[in-house]
Amino acid sequence: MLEKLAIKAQNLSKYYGKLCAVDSLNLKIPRGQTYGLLGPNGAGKTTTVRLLNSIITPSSGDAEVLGYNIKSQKHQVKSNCGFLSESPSLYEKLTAREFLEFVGDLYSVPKSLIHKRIDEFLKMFDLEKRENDLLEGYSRGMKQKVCLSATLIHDPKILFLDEPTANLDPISARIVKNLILDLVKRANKTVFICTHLLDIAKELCDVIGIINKGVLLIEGSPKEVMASVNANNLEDAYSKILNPSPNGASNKDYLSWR
Amino acid sequence: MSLWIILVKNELRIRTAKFKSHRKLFFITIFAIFLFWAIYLGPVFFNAVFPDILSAFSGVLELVLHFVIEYFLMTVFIMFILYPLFTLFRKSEIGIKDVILSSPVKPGDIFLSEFFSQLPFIFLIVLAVGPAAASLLSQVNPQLTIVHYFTIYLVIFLLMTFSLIIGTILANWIEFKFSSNKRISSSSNSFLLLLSFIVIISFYLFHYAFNLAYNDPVFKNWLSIFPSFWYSNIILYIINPTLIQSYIVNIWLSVILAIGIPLMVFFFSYRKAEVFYSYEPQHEKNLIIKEREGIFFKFIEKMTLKKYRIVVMVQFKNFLRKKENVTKLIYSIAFTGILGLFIFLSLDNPLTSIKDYLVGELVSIPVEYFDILVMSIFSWMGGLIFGMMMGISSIFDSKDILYLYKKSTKGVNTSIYSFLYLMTHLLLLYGIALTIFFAILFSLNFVVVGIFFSTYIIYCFIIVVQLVGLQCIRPLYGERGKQIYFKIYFIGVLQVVSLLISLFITIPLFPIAIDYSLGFMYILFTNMGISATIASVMLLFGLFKLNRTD
Repeated sequence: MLEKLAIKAQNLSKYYGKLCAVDSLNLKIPRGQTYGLLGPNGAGKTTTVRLLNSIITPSSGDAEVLGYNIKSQKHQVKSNCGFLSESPSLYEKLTAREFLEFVGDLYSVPKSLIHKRIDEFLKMFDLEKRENDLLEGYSRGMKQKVCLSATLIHDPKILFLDEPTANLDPISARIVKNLILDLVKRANKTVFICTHLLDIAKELCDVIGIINKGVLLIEGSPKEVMASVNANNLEDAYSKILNPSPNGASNKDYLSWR
Repeated sequence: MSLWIILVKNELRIRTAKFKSHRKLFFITIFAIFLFWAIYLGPVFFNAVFPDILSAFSGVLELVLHFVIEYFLMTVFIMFILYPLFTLFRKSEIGIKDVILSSPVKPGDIFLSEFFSQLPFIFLIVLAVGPAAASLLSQVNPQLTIVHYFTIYLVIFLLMTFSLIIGTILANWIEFKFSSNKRISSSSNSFLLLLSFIVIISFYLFHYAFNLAYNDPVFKNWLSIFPSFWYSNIILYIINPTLIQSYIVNIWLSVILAIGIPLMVFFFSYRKAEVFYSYEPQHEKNLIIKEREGIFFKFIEKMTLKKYRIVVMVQFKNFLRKKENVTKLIYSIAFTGILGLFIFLSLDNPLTSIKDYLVGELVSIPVEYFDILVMSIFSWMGGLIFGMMMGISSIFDSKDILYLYKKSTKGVNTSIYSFLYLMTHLLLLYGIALTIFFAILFSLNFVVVGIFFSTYIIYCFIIVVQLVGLQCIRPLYGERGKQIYFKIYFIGVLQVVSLLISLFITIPLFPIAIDYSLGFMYILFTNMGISATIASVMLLFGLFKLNRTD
């Protein structure tokens, strides 16, 4: 596939009953770019990622990932994507090594390569001493590291990372950020990040999109987004785009509940 | 390696997590023990015991054997088909993990893995119970060899496997229709009710048809096309080839059908799984909270003590908004109700007018208190059905919920008491409705109505408490299957144990000239006392363990 665009979505929509989770989304993300999708809780970020990974079927519209159609070429889409879920649900009764072996098998990674990669991941995330413990005994941060390793184990061409640094301590978060930067720069991977953490978006993303109630409100580089609303920083820009009224968040009485 | 094999391996790994360091040794040991039992110990034991027991029925066994085998296999076949239907919506409630959804796994892979991962355990069940069946058959044909024994085990295993895959396809197809068809989805509870009635009526109809066929050779010949007969024919042929001489489906056709059809079903279900199987996460159901819930919940709220009101209501809402629980509730109502209806239809007169009742053609038991006896047995069976269905509802959806209670000032015991409270509410509502139904159906008098209602409520509650006790010892956390099966089997074994204990206690204490029905009731009430004691101990121990769960 010589498709230049990693992701192309046209009027992609998803309805849950009467609720519109994603509304006519249009995306054009070139290969080798880091794209950040920002938005409040329930904005439609996770649904977008699930649509693009062929996990759920769109109600209308269409999309291509690496030139593969998300509706008719699900197998190819899934084989080439790595998806880190927002709330990673692991098999608690497996050890980290067993779980990673299982995920590697699912993507048909050769056995020897699986073991080599597992060793590297465990070393990178400092999990070597706990590799034979059941995952139910892991902290949330440790589970997040295992999930990240599972996302990368088949060396996908596109990575969809939903809150990749959630639950991680600062050192581990730094490792993950460096890893993402390296994956894009040195391995020419495309990374699609969903996050609430604006500093991560600013540091890692070439382009960001802000989504609310299923509608993509704005798209551009962090600088372009800030400039579009005359904001000094991304947090200001985010607030202005999502809460444009002058009597917005800053004038709220936060102690009214007392 | 096929993806479904990877998924099966993973399922087996999860199920044997406790033995993670010695999985191979674990499997070898377990299968070696069961094989030793199936090949040597079991047959030796049963061949030593059966002749004495069967000597009382000398000459009768040969006459009824083919009937017993055909009936038994048909019941097993239908039960295994129906079983996945009882757990309908469990999968969509819990969902499949994102890690699998985002991988190149196809619906067929997940479908086959869910099915095949159960096979080793079914095989163990067959090895465990097989010697009893094979030894019974060897009383009729003493020439049976170890090869025959294994063929019998294999036939039972194939039958269970085939029926389970049909049940799995049916259950998945129904879930698929519910999720893909908006009209069905919007009136899902009414459809569920209808579906449960169809399933349960068809269950009883098969038994009814079998009884009809027993007296009608032409109908029997046609009924032998039914799949369970392919398998019973093979066993009957092993015992005595003349037993199936008159059937349309002869031994060769039986063998071809018994092996060929399941293989074809396996193959097509794997290739065409997307037609009846959906693994796409369903969120629609969580978005709309029905307005009509309000009146019902307000009523329940008023019926609840102020101290527990909030917690009970939260648990009640969480419980009833899970479609899986509604399905189970409907099933347990329908199962008990229709069971009553069938007993009513099979009796010539209402219960109150019967003074003598014939059991089979061999034994006549005079009964003075037949109505009380039948309703007491009913309450026990109904209690088992309700208790098993409801007791496996997970109290804590996740560990976080457990910790939520733990860190609160009310403590974790509140969650258990409030769950039992909500079960009491459900039981009272459901018990009153069922009692009125039976009272009208059987024209019961006030005393019998009172006995049925109270014993039914008590039995249901005892089973629920036993399962809640088990859940306290090892919470379910809304996980898939695995633990649920263990808990159900365990509770089933407990009922047998308590019944055996009550038999050993009550029989030596019987007055010599006691009425049969009073004798039965004596056993039932003793059993109730023993079960209640076991339930209390399990609950207390469970609470003790739960308070110490980290």
